Amino acid sequence: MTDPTSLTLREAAAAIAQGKLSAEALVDACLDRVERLQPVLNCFISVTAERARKLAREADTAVKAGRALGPLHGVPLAHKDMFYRAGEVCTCGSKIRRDFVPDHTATVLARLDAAGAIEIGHLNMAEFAMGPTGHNEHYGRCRNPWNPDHITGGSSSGSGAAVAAALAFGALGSDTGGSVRLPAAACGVVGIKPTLGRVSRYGTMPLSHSLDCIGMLARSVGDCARLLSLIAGPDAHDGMASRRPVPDYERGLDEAAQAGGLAGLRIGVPNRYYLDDIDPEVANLIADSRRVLEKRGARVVDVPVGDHGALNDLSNAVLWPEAADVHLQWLRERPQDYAKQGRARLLVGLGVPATLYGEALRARAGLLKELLHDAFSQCDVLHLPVLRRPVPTAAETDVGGGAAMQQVLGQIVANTRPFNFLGLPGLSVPIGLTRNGLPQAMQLVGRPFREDLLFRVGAAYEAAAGPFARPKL
Amino acid sequence: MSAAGDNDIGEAALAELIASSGVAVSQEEVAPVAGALKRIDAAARILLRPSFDDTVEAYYRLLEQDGVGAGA
Repeated sequence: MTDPTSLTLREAAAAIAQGKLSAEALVDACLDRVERLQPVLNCFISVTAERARKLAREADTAVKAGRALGPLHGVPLAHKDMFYRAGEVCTCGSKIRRDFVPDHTATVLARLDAAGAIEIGHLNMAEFAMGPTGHNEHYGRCRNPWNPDHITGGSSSGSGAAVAAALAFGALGSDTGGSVRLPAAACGVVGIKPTLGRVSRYGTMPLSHSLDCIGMLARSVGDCARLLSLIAGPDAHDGMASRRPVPDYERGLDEAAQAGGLAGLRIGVPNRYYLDDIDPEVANLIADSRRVLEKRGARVVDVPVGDHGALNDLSNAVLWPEAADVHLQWLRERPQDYAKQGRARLLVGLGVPATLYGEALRARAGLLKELLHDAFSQCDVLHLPVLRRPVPTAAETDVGGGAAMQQVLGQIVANTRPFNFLGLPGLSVPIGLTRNGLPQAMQLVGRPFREDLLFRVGAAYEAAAGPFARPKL
Repeated sequence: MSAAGDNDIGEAALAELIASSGVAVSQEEVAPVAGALKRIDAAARILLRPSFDDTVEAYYRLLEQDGVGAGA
């Protein structure tokens, strides 16, 4: 077999199950790449090579013994360093938790373990998931595999870079304002932010309990569909996790990928805000992606949306008070241990009146109802860019905690944050490269709990457009 | 304070408010916070008009029950 790291997650799982590839060889191949590329990309905060190799040997023994295998048996994954595993340091990308060792394991990790996945390390991230660029003062900036001078997007920076660089076959991230979709878009991989409540948050670092979603990044839509199928669903440890049944998200993907697979589907293009001031190159790629979906049978319609620019700003009235609440003790006692940017953003939360926070939370019902009525009565899926501009350089976004911070960071999350506020699922799918050589992505947004539909549209696009390019590393 | 537009407070008062929560803050840190709060307040003026019965529970109910029985 040629380089096994070039397989998709589902291909790798199948090769192991069929005995064509050993888990040990696959883990070794990934760890070799980590060793070679970590100095360039800085994706990992820690690598758990010894544990991974031991699990791989056990996985191969299970295959040889003919034991029942999980859907991820022997497949190397790595995750944003905010998912607790009992007995392993979990830094949350911070100085404050540099030595934090949790005493319990996140439900999502336990479910991936049960499916046979092998975790090879803990990935870089923005400090406490508080930034959308990939900067991190404590562990160093994570660099984009397409061009290390450019940002990876964040806050799941290591997840985007590691999956794009084929250091792991998939990665968990979290998305409170775009933190899965942004690095997926900037690094040229697929990323899904599920509906609020679709995935348990037990044993994961909190940021904003009204907005936090656990998502994942992988190199194909089908890979993300498999990962979500495995980790979604009710959890006795998390009262906020939805009890809605979890479909097999892989079901229907092959049919959707056939010619005409999107017949009858209505793709909605928001009639305001999301395409405002869009870069012409990005606009062309987005228009091309719509045409691809039309060729697969979808019908494109313009749909009305409310003032989502204001919605974007309003989400700060929820995010930062909740984050400031979580961090209040450390803000009082260890202010010097925060990076300037994270601290500056947390301070916003201390200035939001409690009544305004409460009003913003209560307004969500009406604002969601409005979008469902106005836009989703006319379409099945919204289609818009993740980013409106080509992926910027690190220098262009190195704004620290100063006056330019809100504007620069606000532009990056402009098209992602409104859907966290509303709780809707969003899928980021790569659609091409801009002249600077960096990827761009379309964002598909669905009604609550319609991740299945997003995956089908994404799979149809992938089938028509072909596999997305890989960075030369 | 309410979302009706009387949220604007001076930077000195904002620094005092933050300090009252036990968090030390410098004057140079206050200006960006004040800017962010102004944007939030402007958004609130446009969007915030929840009725008495628009509860947080209503949001989660809507999210949870939308399309039940349809789809997958």
